[in-house]
Amino acid sequence: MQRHLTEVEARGAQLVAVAQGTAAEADRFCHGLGVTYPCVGDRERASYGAFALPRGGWKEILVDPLFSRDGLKRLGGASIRGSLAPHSDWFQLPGVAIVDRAGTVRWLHRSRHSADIPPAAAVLAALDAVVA
Amino acid sequence: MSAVGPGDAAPDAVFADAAGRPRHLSDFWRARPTVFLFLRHFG
Repeated sequence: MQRHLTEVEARGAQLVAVAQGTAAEADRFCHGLGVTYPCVGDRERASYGAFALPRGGWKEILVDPLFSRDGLKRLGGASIRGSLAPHSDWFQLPGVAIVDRAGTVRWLHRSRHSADIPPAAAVLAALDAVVA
Repeated sequence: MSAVGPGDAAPDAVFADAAGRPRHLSDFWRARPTVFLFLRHFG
């Protein structure tokens, strides 16, 4: 979503990355990816649990783009090192949530497998409905 | 209890920031509508 940060901010909203691990681990990971928006570390994965983001099994995580040649090139060494962080769960699946200023969940995507990432256009369209 | 979904109050999870202070998800959404990107294992 980094490439769409300007579009998000133009809508009066913000992006926040939530990573597994400590704040320092999250900082290292996001810095390595060139993320310029806030990136926080959730060592206990409390937010993942609160949003009921599921854990997968081997089948769900082996479709991860990380395991493809292109994925490895794209993510680079920093991400690989980060993947070995002691506070991460390889089976935790990702997700995206949009929350408005009143604290209401307006849109939620729980990934069914590790490559199930919603397209930016879908996130921006959902955001349009929130800020309209 | 059913899982949280659109229209529900967002869970206000808490975790520690770099200084060890508690940080709430609501710290973000109270300022602006927020897109939370929950990452995989790389963090």
